Amino acid sequence: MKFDDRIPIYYQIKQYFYQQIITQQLQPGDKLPGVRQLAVDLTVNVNTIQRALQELITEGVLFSKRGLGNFVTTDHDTIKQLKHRVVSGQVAWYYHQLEKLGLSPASMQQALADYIEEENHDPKS
Amino acid sequence: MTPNLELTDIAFRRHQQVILDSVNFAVSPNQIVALLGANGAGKTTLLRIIAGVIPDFTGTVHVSEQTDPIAIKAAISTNFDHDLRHSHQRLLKYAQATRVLWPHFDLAQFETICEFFELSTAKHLDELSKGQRKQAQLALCLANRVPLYLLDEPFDGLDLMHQTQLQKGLLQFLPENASVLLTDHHVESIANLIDRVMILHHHTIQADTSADQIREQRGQSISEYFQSFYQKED
Repeated sequence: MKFDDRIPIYYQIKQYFYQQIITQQLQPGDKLPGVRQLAVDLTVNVNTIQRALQELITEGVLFSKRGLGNFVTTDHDTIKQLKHRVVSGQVAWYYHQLEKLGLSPASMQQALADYIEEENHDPKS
Repeated sequence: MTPNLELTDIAFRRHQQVILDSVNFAVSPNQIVALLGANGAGKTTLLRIIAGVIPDFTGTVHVSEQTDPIAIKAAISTNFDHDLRHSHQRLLKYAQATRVLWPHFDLAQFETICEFFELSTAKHLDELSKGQRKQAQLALCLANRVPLYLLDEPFDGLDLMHQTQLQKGLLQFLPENASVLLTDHHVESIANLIDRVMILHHHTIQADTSADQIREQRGQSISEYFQSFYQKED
């Protein structure tokens, strides 16, 4: 995994798990690798992994079983809300970018519709 | 938790010249701390003072609450104890001889780490490539199971693939609750690995902060933050 060094690493690790859960590469109830294994896999120090996991646990996205490890929540509402939160976060970012360019809401919708059209009709070589 | 390393008022002069002055900091268990500074700032000197190689400094070094030089030596492992360039010995033989000198050296662990690096212990030391030598140094260093590791440019001069492999090895084999103090010229290559940054400048620690705090509060990369200390002076 490649990190952006201007953004806190723990934050990027959280985003990575969000993505894994939303795309179901991590399924409800799945057990996560141990903290040290994650540190080795992502080449990040153990404290950073722990901070990311702790926040995911506080958010209810993961739950921890004493002595057994960390697991993905089995609560489908939590996952639904997570997906909603992550998607609106991305949309909000683009909205503000386009707003800075002076686009009206109607032109933004048009721009997005045009883009989707192009992406799906014009196969990339 | 009590710190694995604590420095109090460390000062050092060489030929009447101040090299280090009023250096104070502590390193907690499980921390990986980068000691950054320009060439000649005194990073290596400071590591050598902690390791007991340079005796004529003032101030106090505590390692796991101990101040006795022999106890400190037994509680520290460094990568600069092992030069490895000027011997024809096989790596395994060297490790076996090392075991006699270091009370906490674990030979089985050494072989496991070499296996992780895919480094044959039957190799002769003077036949190791630069990358293999760095692997061997880190394996020897980590096979010594102690609370404090001092790594002077452990990834220097390696390509990205080898750097990553060494860093994974460090994360994999670092003992529980151990601390690492490391120096590196290439801040970018260790940015993920470290959780704390100290900047040695004008003979002392000018900044001491968490790596993610730099990113979070300043929106800066570790490398930009480091460079900002030198731009202020222009």
